Amino acid sequence: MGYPDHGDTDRRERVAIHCEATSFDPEAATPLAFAAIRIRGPRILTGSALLLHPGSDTGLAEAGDLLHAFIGDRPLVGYYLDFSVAMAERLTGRPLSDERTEVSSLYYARKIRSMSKQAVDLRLDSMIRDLDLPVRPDDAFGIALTAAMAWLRLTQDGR
Amino acid sequence: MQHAMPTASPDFDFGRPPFDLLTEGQRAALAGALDIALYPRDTVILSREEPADALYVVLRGTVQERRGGEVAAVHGPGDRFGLQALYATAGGGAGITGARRFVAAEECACHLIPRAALEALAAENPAFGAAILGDFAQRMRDLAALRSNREMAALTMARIRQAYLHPPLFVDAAASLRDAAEAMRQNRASSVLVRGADGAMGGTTGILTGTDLRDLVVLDGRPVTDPVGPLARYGLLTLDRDDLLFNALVLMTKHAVRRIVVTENGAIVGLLGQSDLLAVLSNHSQVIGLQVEHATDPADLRRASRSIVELIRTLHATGVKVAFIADLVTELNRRIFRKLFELLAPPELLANSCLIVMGSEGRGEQLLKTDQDNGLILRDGFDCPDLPRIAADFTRHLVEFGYPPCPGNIMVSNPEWTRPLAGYKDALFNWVHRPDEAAQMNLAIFYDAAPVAGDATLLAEAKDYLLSRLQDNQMFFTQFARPTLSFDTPSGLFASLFERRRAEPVDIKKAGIFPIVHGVRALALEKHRAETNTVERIQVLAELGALDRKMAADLVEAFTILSTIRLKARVDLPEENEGGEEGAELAIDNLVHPDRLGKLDRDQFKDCLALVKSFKELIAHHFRLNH
Repeated sequence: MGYPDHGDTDRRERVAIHCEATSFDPEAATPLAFAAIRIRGPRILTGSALLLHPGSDTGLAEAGDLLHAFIGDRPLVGYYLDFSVAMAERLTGRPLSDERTEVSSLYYARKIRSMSKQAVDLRLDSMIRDLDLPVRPDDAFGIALTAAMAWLRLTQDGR
Repeated sequence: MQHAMPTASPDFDFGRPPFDLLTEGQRAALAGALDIALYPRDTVILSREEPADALYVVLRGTVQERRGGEVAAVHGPGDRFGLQALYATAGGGAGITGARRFVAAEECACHLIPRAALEALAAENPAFGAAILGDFAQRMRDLAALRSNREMAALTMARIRQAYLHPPLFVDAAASLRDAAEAMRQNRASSVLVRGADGAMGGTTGILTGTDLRDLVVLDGRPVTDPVGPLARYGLLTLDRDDLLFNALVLMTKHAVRRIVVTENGAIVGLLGQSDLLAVLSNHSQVIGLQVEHATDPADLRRASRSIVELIRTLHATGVKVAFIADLVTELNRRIFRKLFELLAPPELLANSCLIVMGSEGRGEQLLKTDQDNGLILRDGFDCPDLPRIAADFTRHLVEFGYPPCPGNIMVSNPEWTRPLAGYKDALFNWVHRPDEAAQMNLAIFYDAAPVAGDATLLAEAKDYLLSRLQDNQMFFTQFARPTLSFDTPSGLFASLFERRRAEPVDIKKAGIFPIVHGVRALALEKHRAETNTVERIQVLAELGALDRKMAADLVEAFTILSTIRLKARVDLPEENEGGEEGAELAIDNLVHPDRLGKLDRDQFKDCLALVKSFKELIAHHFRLNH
């Protein structure tokens, strides 16, 4: 069981989430889509990912329950995670795990070591290109997947 | 609830067999069920201890498959692995494939097809199921069948395209009979095509042959100034260029004509004459066989020998199995050798000697003209003063026929290989008891010897002597088997990371064929078997229990496929210097360029090399070559 050579001893599952909404103000925005993907070891469980369109394919309350059941108390991973978490908590009405990893800060920490004083380009596209991730961030699912991949890349080989 | 969006996930390559067998709906289902995994460099992706729950398909990077300490294969983007782990049975396949590990050679991304999804698709789509779940031998066969569908099936399936076509020669309907005759003479043609007077656009086209001209002018007394238009015969017999030659023969016979018009996409591209058709069909082995039997001097044999190459081309182009080609070519070559020897040797020499062929010719695995490996065993006490001249003639003629001289000088013309039975026994004694590199090689090729002409009991006696000297000398066998491992069997060539390496040619003989041939030879020698053919040896070893049945079946399969690829690489070479130097045609070149292979061939090639690797480990273990 497990992935013995995966340097990371943390074998807990994580969840990469992303929320697409009508604006970037978590107080006022209406969520359009939530994507949540579990990460287990080196594996991103895209085959059993959760994609919700609250208010269209599910009711808001039902969406909240589904999302909460899917995430449980797993640590969260995301790009621009604060916004997604705020939206998710608004939907579920309950707090999520406060163990959270913002992949752009992981990326920033990595780049700043090698790049001295230049500004780090934290845009999603630049990060995907730089980390050579096989993904297209076209929608909520794509961005959540990107975050999952970036998290793996940045935590795996950094050791 | 599980609405993964395949549009956002990295595209899975459905164009690659066997995934191309899936329907749209099944593709969507598979895309939705895929997981993705990322591995840093040097991580173990899959190992023995860990049962796989998914089939892995490489998306990025390269994955090494390691057996023991050795890299058995490299999987690049689009390659799949882990199926064996997925369906590992407790007992079967243990041992050799035991310690298998898949390791990321660089940063890798893989698609994972969960077992449940894979099985659901296999149940729903039996063709896909068979392609993906079949075991090695089955997988090989399916791929081969797929290819033979694409190509053609039998000798009778030769196409008109393969025959020489005379370019069409047109004259207008208004041209006179004299003009037609003049055109024929200038173009050395035996007929002209006449463009119909009306409707130049695809209108009627007629034909006027030399015979027609003769009849019209000489017999009927028509003036040579008459226009050809009304005199030509219309309603041409046409066939498409891709029609079977056989159909052309039927059509000619039925209508008692000697030429038909050949079209391509409806347009006339040439004329096929009866003689051209027969020229293609006469490459048939029986015709060559007859030529050999009726030969009265070496020049006749030379002609026969040269048509073998054309025969191989035709047979191969028409999809005839390589094992069959090898049988046929072996038989024809031996008949040529025998006939030549009979032509050159006086009757008493024939009665008191045995002409033998060795190496690949002795094993019956020669597809093209490779180096001569032959010798002569004389009855003890028999003396033939003329022998050196006869032997030299024999070798010289064979060289003329296009069989290159043996670089190791293992030829009748070398006194070392033309000697009495007692001399052979002495040599065998030395080879067995004082093995050095040359002795090992001599022994190996002599063990493959087959009688061709003269008294076959002489060879049988020499071989009996050889086997009786072996006893159970473990040291000897260890030495004898060692060359099986002397060439590396590469597997890194599929890693697309190393695009440069990918283009590097592989010596298919050293990397694939030789290890099988020699490993099997060592096992057969150990069991004192008299068979010389590699496939027969494998089969008898399997019956004796010296080889695992599955390994035996896989080996035969791999050997056949490697031989096919080798032949194909040869035959498909562009005919550069056609009509050039004799004997240069289809010269043996064992390099295979993986990047020039089709996808099917490349997959098979890869699987075969992986099998050769594990066979080498078996040999190393069996003969304790690692100590």
